Amino acid sequence: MSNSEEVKLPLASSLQQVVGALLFGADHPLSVEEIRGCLKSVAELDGAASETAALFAEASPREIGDAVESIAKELSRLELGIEVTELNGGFRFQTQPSCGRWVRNLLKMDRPNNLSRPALETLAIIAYRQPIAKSEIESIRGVTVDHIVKALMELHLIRIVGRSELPGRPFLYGTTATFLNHFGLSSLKELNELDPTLQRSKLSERKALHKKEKKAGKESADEATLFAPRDTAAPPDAPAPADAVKEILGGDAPPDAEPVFDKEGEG
Amino acid sequence: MALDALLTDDYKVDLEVFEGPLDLLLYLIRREEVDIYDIPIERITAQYMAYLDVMRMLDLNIAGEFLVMAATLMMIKSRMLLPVESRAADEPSDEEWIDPRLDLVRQLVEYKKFKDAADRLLELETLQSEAFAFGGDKPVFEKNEADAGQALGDIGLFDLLTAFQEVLARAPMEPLGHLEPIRWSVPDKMEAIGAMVRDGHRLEFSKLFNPESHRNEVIVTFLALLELLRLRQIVIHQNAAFHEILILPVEDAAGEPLALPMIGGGEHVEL
Repeated sequence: MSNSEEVKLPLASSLQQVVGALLFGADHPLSVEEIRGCLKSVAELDGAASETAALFAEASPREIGDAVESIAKELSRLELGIEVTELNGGFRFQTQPSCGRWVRNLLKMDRPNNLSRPALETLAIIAYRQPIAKSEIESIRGVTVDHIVKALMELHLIRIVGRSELPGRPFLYGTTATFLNHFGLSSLKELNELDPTLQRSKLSERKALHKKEKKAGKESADEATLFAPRDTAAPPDAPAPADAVKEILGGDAPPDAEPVFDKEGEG
Repeated sequence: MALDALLTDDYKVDLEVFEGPLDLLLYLIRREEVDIYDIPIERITAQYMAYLDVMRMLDLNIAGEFLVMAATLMMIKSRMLLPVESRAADEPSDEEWIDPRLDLVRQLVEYKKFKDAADRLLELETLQSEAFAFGGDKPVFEKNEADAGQALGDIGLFDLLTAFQEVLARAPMEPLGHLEPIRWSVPDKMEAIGAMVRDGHRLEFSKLFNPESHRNEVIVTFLALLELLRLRQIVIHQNAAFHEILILPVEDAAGEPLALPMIGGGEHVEL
């Protein structure tokens, strides 16, 4: 690194330049921490000789993040066919999907098969409700998912993340880093922001709120009886799905849909 | 009956069914454009049973859950028929009458949410599969043999069954008490469809069948189609929901249709 005594190369003067170069030169998505580690390591080696290197080593994670963001903005403004994307917490340059047709042809790559619908649906359930046991997935899909879960495991999209406390201690499934990479997601948080109503944790919060309301007044009494839990709704190990529907029906149903249940149904 | 012999002995199409009863119900609700919160239970039950019959006729692996759902639908239907007074007496709770459809609606609505989430995952997947980095070295898998549900591509099983039902309804019934040698076999039909797709490069589903096709021929042709799909010799495509289904050759990277391997057998089955 400091062996260019004879031919002196001019050093980069802005953090953005260096961050851009690291992203371009890397062979995998780089996290902010990795970038920071590299800046620090260079400063340790030639910090004494180079003020710039010492200065860059002072960059906070936030400043590095800002540098990545401004590179991303510049790229999209210039329409260079390249973008910065965040995959599983790491940043990388990639070609824009709109240019995929040509890149694919150049690289002589087949169009990959998308996952099948049943596989995507099962994956969606696992992604939003993880950690989740197979029986819970089945109670939502209404059909056995053995084959699909096995296929998703083989594709490394899901993994066993633990065992449930339930009798028989069934496996609990969750998504993998491959899952995030495959769908171009920066984190599970990004996924949850797409469909906030599907999250389990949020639901239990809302459920608690719902209970409070029920105690507090009679306003929501109708709703409470309307959506009173029934023993067939879900196995005892899966309280969330039943509550989810309660929330969905109670919270998101179009207003004109509710009176249906009040009406004496005609045969 | 000739058909039974054909299906069990000659060539059994072993297409895994990954869709469940909830998928079928949501499909019917969407196709009939009815309100999920106010399902016309009688109509939907009748249609559900019709699909079950078709699946049984094709000897597909019907999951037990389909039968459980059939029983549930029947029960709901009968409870909907009860007069209001006896309902009130029947209900253990002194609260107001609970719609017998409620549990089912709940389940359907929740599942629908995940189906919509799966739609968004599909968009993300499609987008990301077109982005390249590091010289095209994709960190993700290219071909996924493990996902057997892929055989039908972007078309659901029920779309195919709908198309099949329509053709079958037009096919003349075989005359009673009249036995004739079987003139069609699944392997023969597979080759025929393969040849048609190779030459025509795309084929409408309805063109697979002659208007005068014998009922058995329709069934055998459809089974051959399912088998070709399972073996990934052809792909099917639908431009929009409930539109005509197109049959296309499988293409390789260069966009050239792949040659179909010869399918062995093809002997006619004599009774």
